[in-house]
Amino acid sequence: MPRYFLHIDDLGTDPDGTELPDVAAARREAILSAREILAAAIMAGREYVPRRFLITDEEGELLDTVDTKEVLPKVFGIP
Amino acid sequence: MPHSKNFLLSRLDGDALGRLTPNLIVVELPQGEVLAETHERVEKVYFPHGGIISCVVETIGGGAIETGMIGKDGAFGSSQALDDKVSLNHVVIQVPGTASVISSDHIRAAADEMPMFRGLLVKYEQFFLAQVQQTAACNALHTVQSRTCKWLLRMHELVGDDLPLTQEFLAQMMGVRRTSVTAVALELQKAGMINYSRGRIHIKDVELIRQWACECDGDVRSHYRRIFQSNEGDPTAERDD
Repeated sequence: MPRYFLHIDDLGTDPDGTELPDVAAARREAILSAREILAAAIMAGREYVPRRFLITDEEGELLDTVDTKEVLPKVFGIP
Repeated sequence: MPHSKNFLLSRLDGDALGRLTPNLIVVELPQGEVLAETHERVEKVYFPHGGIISCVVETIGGGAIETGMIGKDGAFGSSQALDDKVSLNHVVIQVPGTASVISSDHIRAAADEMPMFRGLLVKYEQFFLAQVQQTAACNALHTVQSRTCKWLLRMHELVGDDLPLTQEFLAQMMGVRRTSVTAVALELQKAGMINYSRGRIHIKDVELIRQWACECDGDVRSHYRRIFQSNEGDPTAERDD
């Protein structure tokens, strides 16, 4: 399985990476991670959260990005 | 005497240790090896000289979280040896090291003959329960960042400055996704507390980590001192303020 790296923009690079079947799986992992990090930051009363998450391959090539804004849950009444 | 590198065995007098020695063997603890599965019989007792043995609770759906760690300050398998022999959770070697190992039957016989030895094992079980209770409170109430700092302090006391740990493993211990650990590790690195490279954490400034950690590590250490009623044998005593 290929190894994907989930870097956190403004914070730093992911040295370890994770083995996942494809880019779509890496994107799902990035979304779930972003939600968890965001939730922890909100609960801790943090003023700032990372802007986005970058998905790269082993060579460092950028494959996809996940904006923190896109991972927020939808608001009731607004589709 | 390699056995005395374990703090429980080091507390035994010469006669008591001499009674155990013929049946104690020194083994390697390879990283990732599973010592017991949930509800599996435990046939051996491990007294680590270094490294870390983790007790991990696994939930349906693939979640897992560490609920207790055993290092040179304790033993794995002693309560099972004295009574039921069954492990109540998944027990895995988290950081490699060595340990003195003895069969459960030998431990039970020795504990029957030497009340002082039985008392020592029971004392450690009391401490272990206190540690697990503190961990339950900590996991429910404290942030991932302060829990990670607490966890690094404990690892530093039991292992030292260099911790051979992947973020994946650490995430499982903390019960979070790997990238949450990446986020915390990057912040600690920026603050000058640790250096992180693939599969390795180097502790740079333990006092700064202590400032960011919750109180749980200090509380666990004070339980250890209270239960053993002395600083002797407490791996954390020399660093205590």
